[in-house]
Amino acid sequence: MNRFLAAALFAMPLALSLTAGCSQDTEVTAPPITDPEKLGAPLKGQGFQFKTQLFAVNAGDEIQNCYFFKVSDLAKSGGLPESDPVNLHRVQIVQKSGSHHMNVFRVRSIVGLDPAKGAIQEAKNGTGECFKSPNWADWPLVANNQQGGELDWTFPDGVANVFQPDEWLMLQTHYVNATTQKSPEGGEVAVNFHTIPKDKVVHEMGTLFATKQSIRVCKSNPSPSFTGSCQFKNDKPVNVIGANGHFHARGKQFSIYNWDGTSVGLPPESDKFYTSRTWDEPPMLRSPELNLEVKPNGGVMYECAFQWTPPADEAGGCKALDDYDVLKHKDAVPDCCYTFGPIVEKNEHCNAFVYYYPKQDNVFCN
Amino acid sequence: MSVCAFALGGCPSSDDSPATDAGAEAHPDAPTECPAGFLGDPAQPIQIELRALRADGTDVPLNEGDDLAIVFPPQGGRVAFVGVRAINLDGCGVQVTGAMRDLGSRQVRIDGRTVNLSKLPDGWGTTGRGTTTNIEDSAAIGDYSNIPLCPNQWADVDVFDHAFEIEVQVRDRTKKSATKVIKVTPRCAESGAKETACRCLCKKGYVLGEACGEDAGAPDGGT
Repeated sequence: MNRFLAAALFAMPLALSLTAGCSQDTEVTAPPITDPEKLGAPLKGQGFQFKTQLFAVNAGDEIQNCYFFKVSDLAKSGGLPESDPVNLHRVQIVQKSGSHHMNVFRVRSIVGLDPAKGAIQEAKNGTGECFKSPNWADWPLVANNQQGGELDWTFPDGVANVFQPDEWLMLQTHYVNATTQKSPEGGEVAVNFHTIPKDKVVHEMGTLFATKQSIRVCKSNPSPSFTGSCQFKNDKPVNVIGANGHFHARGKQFSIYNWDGTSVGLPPESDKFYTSRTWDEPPMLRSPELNLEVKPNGGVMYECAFQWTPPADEAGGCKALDDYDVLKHKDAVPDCCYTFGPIVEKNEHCNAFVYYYPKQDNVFCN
Repeated sequence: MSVCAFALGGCPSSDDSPATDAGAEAHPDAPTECPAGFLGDPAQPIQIELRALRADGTDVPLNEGDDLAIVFPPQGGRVAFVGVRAINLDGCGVQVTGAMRDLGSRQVRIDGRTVNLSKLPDGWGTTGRGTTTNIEDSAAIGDYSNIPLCPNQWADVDVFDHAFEIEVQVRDRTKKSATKVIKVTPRCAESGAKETACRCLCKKGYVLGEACGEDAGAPDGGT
């Protein structure tokens, strides 16, 4: 049996049960909404809603769950033609406070995370396929948010992220209830996708997801920074309309710059368009405030600056970091290092998320 | 104000000055356990020599006209690991930025990171001395600039077996800096399936998503 047909047959009932699936005939009103339960679905025929169930996050735990949804199922639930592409023009995300992050990806290469294995795939404290980033290495980003409460973003006129009906989407949510972040109410996320008709789409939106992986934040090198870049290989300009950065508790400053694609050093301060100094509630900069033109064959450069801090005793202190480091790296010299990984208490990240149009097929990030 | 409120914190900070406690901006007197200290003569300009890792993890000099190993790293794709030997600089918290430039398009691929240099008996400092373990299990590679070379969505020629320019910038905590530029020839340096995948990922015109075999190593997402 075709893998995706099998996956659809297996996952559809549960996926549909996860969606609110109940398009309403009343307009969404009264922002901001902080409770996912109170997010109304888009008008019938104008979009759809999908969400997680409410789940507990016990003290000391990090929960990262992956939820799968088939685009045609979602379209049908919202009264849209299930065999037509979906043209996403406005996204609303509401999540309970305490969320470390939520991302929506479009599923591509199947490694360890497979919609056929279930609509909900749970992981806890670093264990489970939903924690293993190689599983979504080539899955394009669709939407992300790292703040509690509501994100409501309408793209510029004529801009849409286009999904084919046979595609799968994966909603990944990460909640932390430990020393660095608290999730007393548990975890829950609701997402609305509002669509526009095909004849209104002028530009397809693209997204970038860049990550630095060979990073170490160590006691003897306590203030490191790491830089990387993404280049649009195109002879026409592109417009950057959304950006945010992601790191963990040692993150001090996340910067993203407009980059010419040929300069080696950091661009001048005047080209910096995004700054975050708040690791646990990083700003999501987006249109209409952000509408940055990147010159042909240019791109973006990003820098993550960290400050080492002693690990919490409750998390095992330096011994826990050193044990993890030596386990992963056979030549590691124990130095109380936070290394690349998803666990907030002992790992660090340096990820940039960028939304732009028109979509490019060949964008390189490192 | 109302616009900022609408953006839910999405407005850029009004204070865009660099963080004084982050990155390469750390104060030279900040307490650390870095043992390198100042290397050489503060009154002299920084001298640097380039180093690189071979596929077997050996740290070797990288001079004008040399071959440069293209290696499969833990993060996927293909990179070159480039470091330095340096003197006449503060050896702690050194910002090392490595780049490879396509001589045709002038496009560059870069990686920048802050490292402590290891003091050598001759008074110089080095970013690393290589590794005896597998590259994918190595912490030492974090002390080298991980210059991303492939997938080749950027160069006008194959990234292997053609001349490219390597540029390395070094800056210490006092903002004293030096740059070195040389020409090298990147080579797919691993055998078997990894070499086949290297020649696929690094060829001119590679298209993202094109299958290059099991050892191609898709870049790791990392969230």
